[in-house]
Amino acid sequence: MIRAGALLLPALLIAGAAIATNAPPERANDLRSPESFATIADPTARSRALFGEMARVIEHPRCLNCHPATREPLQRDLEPHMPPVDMTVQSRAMECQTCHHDANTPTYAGGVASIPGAHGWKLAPASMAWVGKSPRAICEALKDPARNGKRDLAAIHEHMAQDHLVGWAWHPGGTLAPVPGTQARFGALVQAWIDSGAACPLD
Amino acid sequence: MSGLHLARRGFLVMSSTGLLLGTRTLAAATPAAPSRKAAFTQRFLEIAPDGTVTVFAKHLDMGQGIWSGLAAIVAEELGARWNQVRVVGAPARMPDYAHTVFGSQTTGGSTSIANSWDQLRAAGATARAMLAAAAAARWQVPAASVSIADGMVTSGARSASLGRFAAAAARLPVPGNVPLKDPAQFTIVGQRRPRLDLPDKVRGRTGYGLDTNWPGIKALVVLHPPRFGATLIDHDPTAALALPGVLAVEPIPTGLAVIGETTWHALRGRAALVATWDETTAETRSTAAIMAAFKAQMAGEPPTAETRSGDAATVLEADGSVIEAQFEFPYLAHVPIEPLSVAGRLSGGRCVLRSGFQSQTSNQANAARILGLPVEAVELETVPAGGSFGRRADFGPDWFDELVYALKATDGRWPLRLMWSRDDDIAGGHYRPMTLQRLRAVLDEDGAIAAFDQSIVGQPCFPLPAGAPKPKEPSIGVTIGHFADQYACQASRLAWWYPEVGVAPHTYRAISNNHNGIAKEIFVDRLARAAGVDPVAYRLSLLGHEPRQQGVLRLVAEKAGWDRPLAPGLHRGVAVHRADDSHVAQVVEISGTPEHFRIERVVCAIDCGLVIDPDTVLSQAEGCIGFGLSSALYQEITMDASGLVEQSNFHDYRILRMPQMPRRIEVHIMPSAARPTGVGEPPSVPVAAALVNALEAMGAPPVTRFPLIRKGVA
Amino acid sequence: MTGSPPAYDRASDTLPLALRGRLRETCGHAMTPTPPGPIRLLINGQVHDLACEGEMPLVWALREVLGLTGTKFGCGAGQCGACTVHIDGRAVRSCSIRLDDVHGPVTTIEGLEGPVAGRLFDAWDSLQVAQCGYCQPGQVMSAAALLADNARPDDAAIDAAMAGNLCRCATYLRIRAAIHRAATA
Repeated sequence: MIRAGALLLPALLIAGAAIATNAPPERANDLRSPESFATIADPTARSRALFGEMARVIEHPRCLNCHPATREPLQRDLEPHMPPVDMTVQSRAMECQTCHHDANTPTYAGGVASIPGAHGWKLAPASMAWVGKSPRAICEALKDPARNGKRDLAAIHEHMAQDHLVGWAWHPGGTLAPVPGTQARFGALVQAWIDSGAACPLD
Repeated sequence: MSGLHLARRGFLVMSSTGLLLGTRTLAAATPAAPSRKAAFTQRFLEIAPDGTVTVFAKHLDMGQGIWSGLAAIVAEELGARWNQVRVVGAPARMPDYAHTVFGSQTTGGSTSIANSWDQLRAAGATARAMLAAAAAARWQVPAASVSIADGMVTSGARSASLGRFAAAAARLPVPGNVPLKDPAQFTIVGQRRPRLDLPDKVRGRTGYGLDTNWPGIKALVVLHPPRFGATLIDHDPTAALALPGVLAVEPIPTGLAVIGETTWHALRGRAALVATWDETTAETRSTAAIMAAFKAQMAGEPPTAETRSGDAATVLEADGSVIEAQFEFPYLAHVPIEPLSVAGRLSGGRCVLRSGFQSQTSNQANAARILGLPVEAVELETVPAGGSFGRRADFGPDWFDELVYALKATDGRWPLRLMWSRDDDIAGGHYRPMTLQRLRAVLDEDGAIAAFDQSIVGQPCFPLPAGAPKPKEPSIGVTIGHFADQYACQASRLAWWYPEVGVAPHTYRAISNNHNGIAKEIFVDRLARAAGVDPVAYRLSLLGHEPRQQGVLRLVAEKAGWDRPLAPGLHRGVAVHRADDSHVAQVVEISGTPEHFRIERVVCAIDCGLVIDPDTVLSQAEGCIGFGLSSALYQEITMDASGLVEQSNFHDYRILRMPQMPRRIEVHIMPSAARPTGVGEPPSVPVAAALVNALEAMGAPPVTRFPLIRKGVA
Repeated sequence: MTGSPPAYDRASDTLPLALRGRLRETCGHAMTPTPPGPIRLLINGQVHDLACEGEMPLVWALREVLGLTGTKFGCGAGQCGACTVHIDGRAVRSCSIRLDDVHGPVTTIEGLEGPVAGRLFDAWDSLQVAQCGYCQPGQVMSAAALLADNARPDDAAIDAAMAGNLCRCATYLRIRAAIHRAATA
């Protein structure tokens, strides 16, 4: 099948790209601390604000690329993955580990300076498809044990704060932009969000 | 017509050599590369005592199957057994291995069979006559009683392998004007037979140029300037040389040569180089700005050259019902999967080079000039190429020269193997030129073309030598395959504007047919709609003087069921074109919507004269269809506002992948006894137009530019 | 196919007794700084100790250090599939994996054997699949990995498995047909 969404027209972006994906440049490497939200007295409002800050990581292409709307991963700035990968028809001829290994692989191939890699590279389960969803919808899916891999809030914190695959997003290699802040700071934000009631933002 | 256009093209390609040869007789020939075991050696073949026949191919096999095709002609006339035939690349040597039309040793224009046909039939037949004479003498029988077929020499009850008489035959005088076989008696030519080169290729045993691993060989990559036309001012190799495995950094005319223990070490060293470039003469415009300049040139300047037939201008100006179309075609990179590469070694005043050479004479002469050696001291070993599509033709200075300069700069200290990385290749220029086209027509009351005008702005794909005057007539490097050359027009004008652009142009599969044929076939479909005539019938009405184009159109219409309605949900388009004296018609059927469609079937009819191997024709047609679709759907080289090429690898310069291929391709060969013509390029032309015609039939807005699919979709 | 390759664990450096021998290869230069030790790889049933940088992609070690040029280089970025090998029987683009990350036995086109491989080669030969041929060893390696998982793949499974292997000559329909033929032979 030939997808010609932009057939005969200048670059239309794919659906998922409608989401704001990048932090403002001046804050690209800065993630606000949980403490900076202390001035918000109402816990629910604070919790929503904290999630808004978390979303700057969660909605970053480094994360969304492997939480796509379909079973086809994305790459770079939410672009279609090249070569095309369809995980519904996976085989050992074409799987994540065909290209993605334990560490980023510098290639010295111009334009693709590095092949991303971290141990256990994989696509998020279909229930965790985030691309095209609002922050509220992502938040609700994140908290829903039926969709989040039966995780409670503590397990979600552990995944966000400790998982090395999540941690890769701060060290993507090559020309890829890292997510803002550090994994430790992100983990602290997640903990503060949980402690304030794990409220989801309003649409 | 054919001889003329071949000769003109050959002149354009090879003007530096100038030698035009007819078919030489074997008597004048000297052995090619006699092996120790050979008993009988001539220019195009040798025969070992065990009956093995080795054919020396003067042309490059870059996938088109020409090594087997050339061998089939020799084997047919010789009477060899196919599984005893092998092929190697002929050495670079003029005039022995010259293209009989182009006048130099080169491969292109889908002419390899056409220019070798007489020559190799004579070579095989002469060897057969000599073997028969040797057998007759040995057996004491009349030579006329001796026949040779399937590798066996036979007279009456006597029979022996043809290898048995090879040594004796070699001592006989070489006869002239040996009679050739009656084509009705052919047993090899015209038959499907296994290509000789394929089993080794599939098993990874074929040594391509990039696979050269001579003892002590080192790897070479070159740092090129970021913008076309820039030159090196200064560089600092310190950081690169400090890396392990980086052996040398040497300035050469086109950049900085980096030599490493392996290609990876060289690439890593290159990434650490610091260089400054003089960009005062560089091309710093974007492709959008260059296209805007093309439009201004067409609108505001007299053409560089034009040809007229009748007075089209008056009709076009007087008539209010002009049908007009404009098309923009982008720069295209060839991207053979084997990166551009060549290995070389220099010692004792001799230079040996190994690669898939497409322009041996030119490469050899350039190497000799750069090294200050006589041409005879430069030896070329031609091995199969992992694709070319025109890119390995030499219009220097290019990748090939870089290796020679690096050998010279290092005084032959190491054998070297040059590789252009994929980004070197994609961002390295030498593209199918970008062109702007405008076609205008007025139809008479019968729908015939009363007046026609085609305006083309673009560089010829054969680069003009530096300082050469602009051509006084439209260059076939940008106008071949134009509309009025193929369709009947009562009056017509072809106008061409030569633009000054700092991007090196290059031949590309089917040369300028690959944009003119597409523009022509989209436009004629729109004329058919305007005339209210079926697109096949309309084309037939304009091709009365082109019976072979009419023939393939009728054949493709029959095989595609053009006279029957399509199944619901399907749409189709048709296109036809003549290129390299072959004639191809294609019907494309698609399903879905213009935004999300699938190519269900392509039906192709081809008339390429007498067929050497029908399966090779089928294979080339199938591949050409995929190749033409890659360009039409996905490919374009663009430069940003500062003149930097924006594409670098296959993620942003896409090749059609298996899921996007047409689900089915059906190829039908028109039976013909005409002289064989090319199959490696012509079928790549019509498919893009047939697809566009199908999309427009489906309701897509009129296409004005390629590729059809821009960034941002899978 | 690799069949059942001998168990091999580079980390503990234990070698099966059946291995035929060990080859020492260097990248041709004095390594500075000296690496912790040679990198030991099992390739086509043979042990190689490579004195090469651990971050070097496997393709260069195969092609330019070991001379196994059946594995082709095409893009260097995991885009074309020409460099496909098997590691532990799974398809891997050898341009995209560092030597340090190779944790299992490597099979290249030169070492691809077994009944499935035989049927694939036969199908490729009889259908005259290749044109320039440069991508075809990588195509065959991907096809062999597919058939190891899915003995009778349909078109969709073949397309998905082969979508990472480019063929500039566009021999795709014959490749697909050859896989079907090998699967049903």
